[in-house]
Amino acid sequence: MGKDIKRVVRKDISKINLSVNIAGILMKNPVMVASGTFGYGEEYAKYIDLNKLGAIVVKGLSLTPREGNPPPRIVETSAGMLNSIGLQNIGIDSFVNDKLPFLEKFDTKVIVNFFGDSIDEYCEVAKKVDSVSGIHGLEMNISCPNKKEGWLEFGTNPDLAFRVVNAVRKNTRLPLIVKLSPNVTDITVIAKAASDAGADAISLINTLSGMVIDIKTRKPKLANIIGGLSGPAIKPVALKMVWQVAKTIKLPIIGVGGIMTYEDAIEFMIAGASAVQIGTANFIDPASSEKIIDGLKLYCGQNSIKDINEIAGSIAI
Amino acid sequence: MRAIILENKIIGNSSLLKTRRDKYYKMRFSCDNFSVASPGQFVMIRVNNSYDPFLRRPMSIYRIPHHPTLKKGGRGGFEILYQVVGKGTNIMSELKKGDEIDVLGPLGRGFWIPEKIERAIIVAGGIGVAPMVALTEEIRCTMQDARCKITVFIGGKTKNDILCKENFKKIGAKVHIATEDGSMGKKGTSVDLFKTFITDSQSSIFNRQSSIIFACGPQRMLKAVADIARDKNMDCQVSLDKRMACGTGACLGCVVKVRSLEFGVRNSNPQSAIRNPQSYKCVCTDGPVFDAEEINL
Repeated sequence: MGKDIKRVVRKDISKINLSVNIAGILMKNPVMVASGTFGYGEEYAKYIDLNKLGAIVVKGLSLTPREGNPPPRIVETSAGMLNSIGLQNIGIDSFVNDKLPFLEKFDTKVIVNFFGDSIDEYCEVAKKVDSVSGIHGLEMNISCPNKKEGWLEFGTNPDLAFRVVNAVRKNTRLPLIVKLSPNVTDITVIAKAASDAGADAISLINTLSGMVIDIKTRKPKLANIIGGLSGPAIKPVALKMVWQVAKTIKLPIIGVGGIMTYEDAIEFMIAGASAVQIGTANFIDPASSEKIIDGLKLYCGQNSIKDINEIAGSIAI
Repeated sequence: MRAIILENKIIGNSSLLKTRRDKYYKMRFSCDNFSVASPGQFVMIRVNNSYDPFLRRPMSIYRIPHHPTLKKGGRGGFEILYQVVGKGTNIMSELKKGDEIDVLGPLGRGFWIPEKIERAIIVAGGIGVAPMVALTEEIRCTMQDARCKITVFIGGKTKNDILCKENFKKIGAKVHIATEDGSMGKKGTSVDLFKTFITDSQSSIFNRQSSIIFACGPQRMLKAVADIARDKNMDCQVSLDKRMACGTGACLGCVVKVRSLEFGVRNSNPQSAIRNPQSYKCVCTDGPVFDAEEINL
């Protein structure tokens, strides 16, 4: 009897549709791993079956390699961590030549996260990968200063955000996701600018700006003084922003910020996200994303949900 | 992976305080599918299932049980030493025999022992002795016929901070001790002892070319040892202790600056020959053991 029930449940679970289509990127489930928390994939291949992931968003890449910030670069905080890695990366060419072949062996989507110091640099990177096979989408990190024009962060000014996204749009045919910075007065204004500029999807949020001080030495604990806060501490902030943006624009939203469990992921989807990214949780448990995928299936089974897409934006207000 | 705690006991009191703070502990684990670690490698320990503390704690492996070749998929084990210095280690000190905790490892690149060395010189400060016990045991194990001489310099604040001297004596190493307050051995640091030894015995007692230095301790101690080694043109490996988030080379949080991009000439470990010249290396995957010439301490 008990066995029969189990079999029925399992049969039902196998029928549940977890696949999602984000801006033309068809993923087997809505669980992606976030940029900067999963290296170039191979760092985690030993701990998790990469074939199970909806998508891998690789460590942010720039036109040329970046050295990053001096250490100390990380510090633990209450239910989170602060980092100031400084976008250390091997550069887009090394990624395509040395890292992409490994990722191509897996049945998952590869999304290139990238950034630049100027609009031209963003466009150069986008152009370079436009016809590279094995790359299924782009995610623009616009939380970088515009070094050519006054050092203002692209992501904190709607006009700049529009210009950089619009310029990149003209240089790529790949699905274009724009990752927003939460360090703004009104996230919906920036989201709308990105949408108007031709983005295909929005991921939010990037890390929250913060700092930590050592009271013995009175020195900041990061060499860079300030850094980006991530982990469960920022989840309520991220959730609110996903909800706000989902009400404002029509593009699919990818929720990211402090997701540790499948319950967290479901919360983001109810708030309006069509997919989620797992970030800092990868550091705590390399198998987090796999466990979250299993949890989503279980949740759907238990709640008679046949298609995960039914959850997105189902908030009861 | 889940590890079962077989033992968690105090091995020394650093301070006279009644709290756990500063006390030294030894923890022994049994762990499914734990592959045989090499000396100098580490594990990332999740001290509990809450988000406070949030990150795993990197811990050097102190002893590796030398069973007959462990079958793949068999039960492995390891021991660590730790000092209670904060929230994470305080929680660890409360764990009991039979408790299960989540462990990731073994991780990183450990020490590499060159063939045909006649003398290994070990310099350790405080809790930095931990990986040196595994290292010297390995040297004894693999070089039984070679009669490699092992000389150990241990330093600490007081006699309470001098750990593991019996471990070293048991394998026939010559042990020299220094304490900052003079309560055991010579007054001073392990670097002072090491420096005197190197300078005094430079000409006659040993052949520098067939000797190697291994050091683990606070970074300024490692720097002092590396400077002396460079001055005397001796091979030197240092094991670094950094705050880490992932332990797997993904977060790039635990980096150390490289000394020279042309590094790789003198190094006997082919793996560390230069592959990807970058200004920073990850302590967790490129290290935690580095050739002292490789990095900027």
